[in-house]
Amino acid sequence: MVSQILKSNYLLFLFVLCNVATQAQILTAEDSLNAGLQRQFSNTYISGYGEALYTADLQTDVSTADLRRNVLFIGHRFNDKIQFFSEMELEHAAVSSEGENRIGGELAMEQLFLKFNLNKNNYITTGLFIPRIGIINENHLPTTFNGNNRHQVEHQVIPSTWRELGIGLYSNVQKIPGLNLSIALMNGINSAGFESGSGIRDGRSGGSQANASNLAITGAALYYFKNWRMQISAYYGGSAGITKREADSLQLSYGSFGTPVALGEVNLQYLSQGFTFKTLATAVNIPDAATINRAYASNTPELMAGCYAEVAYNLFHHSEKLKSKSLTIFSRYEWLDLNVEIADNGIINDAFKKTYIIAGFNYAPIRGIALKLDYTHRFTGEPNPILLQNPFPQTIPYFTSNGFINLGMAYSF
Amino acid sequence: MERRIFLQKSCLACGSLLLMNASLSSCSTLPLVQGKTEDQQMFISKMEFAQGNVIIARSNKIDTDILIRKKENSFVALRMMCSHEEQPLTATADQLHCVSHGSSFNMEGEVLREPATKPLKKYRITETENAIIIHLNQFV
Repeated sequence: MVSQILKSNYLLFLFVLCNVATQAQILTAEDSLNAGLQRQFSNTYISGYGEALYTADLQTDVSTADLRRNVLFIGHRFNDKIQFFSEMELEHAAVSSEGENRIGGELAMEQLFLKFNLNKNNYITTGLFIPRIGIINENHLPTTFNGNNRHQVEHQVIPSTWRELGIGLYSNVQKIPGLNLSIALMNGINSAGFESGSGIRDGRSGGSQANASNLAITGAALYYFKNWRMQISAYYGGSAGITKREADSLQLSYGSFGTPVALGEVNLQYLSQGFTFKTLATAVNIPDAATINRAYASNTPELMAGCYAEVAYNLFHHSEKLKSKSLTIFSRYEWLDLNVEIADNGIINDAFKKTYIIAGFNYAPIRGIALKLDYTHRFTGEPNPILLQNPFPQTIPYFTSNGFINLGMAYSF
Repeated sequence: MERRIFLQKSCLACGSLLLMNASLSSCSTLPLVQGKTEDQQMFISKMEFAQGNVIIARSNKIDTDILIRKKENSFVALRMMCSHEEQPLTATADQLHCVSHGSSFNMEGEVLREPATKPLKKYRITETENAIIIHLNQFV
């Protein structure tokens, strides 16, 4: 009797399993997402990207290897109007504060926002999102750019990836096909974090307990025309999100846009027949740099600027047999100056005037995978000895001309 | 700037952006056609292709626009949603672009620029004498 019951339960279990399996065959998760009509099964999707890098410094003869980042993307479609997006990033393989293996990696949310579709042409995002400034900021997947390192101008001058908390409105202008406009209101950055040589990078909050007394507004116009992609963007925000009492004490200008930071950027890209060209120029103005220096002794500059140009060609583009692969040869020139203009109380440092020449190959055996080899040569001015307050006797000499060989792998799916 | 004034100006800027877009949307240069949708099928008159070979079909019953291209004597219907992260695409005369992450596709739906790795979905199409029927739950 007991065995009969077990047998019947077993058959029932098999029946249910078969039924579930049959349903799964009829409508996969991907199909349900893509059909646009039937989503009762799965509206959650996962993707990710990452990169690892080997670098050889040719002057110091030191090499390093790093699992630079692994990013897990999770999205969810609540309904046709509301979606959720998130990217969690682990940098440098591990984050640990204990034992001999203490490692200074970083675990952070790179994005986390809700998207509300107003209609087919307009949507709003709110949460932690990346504003449309520059190219790398929004398009930072390592399989989409040439070379192992993100463009230096978009790292040191535009602090990509730059995310803050706020709300953004994005519009696709149908009257002019290819024209997209965006405007966003975000929390401002924190001038207490500004450091000489890293610009405004360390003033970002990344969504972590940000100062929201000060605000920032950013807008962009992006236009696709034939094989061209053009964009202009701007950012203006306050950088003193502290109490009025503190601001008065530090003699910083207080308010939503007190102690302002302004950024302008323009870029242009061309893609045709396996040939790509891209160029970008940007400048950051901090008119109250002298006040910031007086408050925080950070040697903040008044003006930073940078530009780059890159050409690339996919050697496999015209091969029908190798159509699914690509072998891209590229070269890029970058110039940046992190102290174009300094405040009266600032100290110039020619080591922050930098030029990079990068050349190399990207090989993609399939889409979503990139194996990269590049040579990067960096030229800078001499560091200002006044800024070396306590020089360590065994400090490695500074090389104004230095070469690096970078070998890396990247993926995205 | 006072926060109140700033917020007023920000709201005004957002409103202006929406109004500008709404006013411009009324006379699209890539023809925007409202498709009649029933039972997961969209019906488009062949007369819509009298002026050109490419139209964008829209229906409130589905969450994405569809780019339909007349190719000699046949039609191709591309789902205008990026194969990377399901973001809507912007169409120009000869390409489709994902504004969010930079992917580009040609009019066949093939990837021109990553991060998208897969081509765009193509809907199955059948024809009658005067219309094309897009099967919204069937891809080819």
